[in-house]
Amino acid sequence: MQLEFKKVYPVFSWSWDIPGDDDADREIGDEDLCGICRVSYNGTCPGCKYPGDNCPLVIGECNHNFHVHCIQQWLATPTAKGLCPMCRQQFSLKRGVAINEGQVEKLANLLLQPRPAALAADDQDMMMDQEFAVR
Amino acid sequence: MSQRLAKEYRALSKTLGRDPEYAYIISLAPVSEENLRKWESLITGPPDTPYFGHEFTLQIEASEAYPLEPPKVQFQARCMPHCNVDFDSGRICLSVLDAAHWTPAWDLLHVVHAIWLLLASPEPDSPLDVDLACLVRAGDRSAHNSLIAYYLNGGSRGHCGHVSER
Repeated sequence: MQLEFKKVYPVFSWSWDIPGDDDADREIGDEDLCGICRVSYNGTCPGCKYPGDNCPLVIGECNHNFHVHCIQQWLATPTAKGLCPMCRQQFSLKRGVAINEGQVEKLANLLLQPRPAALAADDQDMMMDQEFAVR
Repeated sequence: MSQRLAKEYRALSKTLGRDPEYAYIISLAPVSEENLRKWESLITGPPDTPYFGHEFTLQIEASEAYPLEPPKVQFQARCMPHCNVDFDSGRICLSVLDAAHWTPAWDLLHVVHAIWLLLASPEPDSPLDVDLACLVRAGDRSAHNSLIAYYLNGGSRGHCGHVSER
């Protein structure tokens, strides 16, 4: 039998590189989910359409991972008190991991932007801004 | 984030009826699939409590901000005599339902489970029912349990949720 290739459609797959996370024996449909929105790490937060750099994943010092948009929304609530939703330690980004790079500055900029008055007036909220920084 | 409620709904259809830990949950689902923010749950009372053998309805409402905010959960009004439940409204005093303690890592199943556990361990330090709280504080378990049984079986506080008409 002779085959003639008329068209080739390359298919690529990707996944966030999470240090210390061995997903070799993980099956499809059994992936880790963001603890806030319950969408796969490789998917997007509910507000985004395209996964990847537009909706990045971040790793906390406590080794809990979230879509950056999800954890930002949580930390912006006055009741979050700057704590990780999973373990209730102060949430900060893990240092020296590639996946967090590029978030540090963006995050700092985002946190400097004015918040809605109700939130900005909250002292607790101001404190959270300081805690949500890479140590 | 109503996608998250849809995900919970899907996950629950796999958990409920299979996991013996949640065998007491007769149902936990949106009232209508049109609106995933309003849920209802039917649970049976825990064993070794005066609630055992009775069924109770929980009314659940998740706000636009859920899971960043806790859901509002209460018993059907005038059906739950419990030291941490306001009998007339069904309002529940429980830390996981309090915004100051809530975390988005919890979900509706956690909340229902926490409420079910509360039925077996009344907390007299934050009472919404003073009579029952006094009996718990006094350590008079048998008076406490009999009073609850009396209410559940149609005592003077009104009829209770032991008759399921579905």
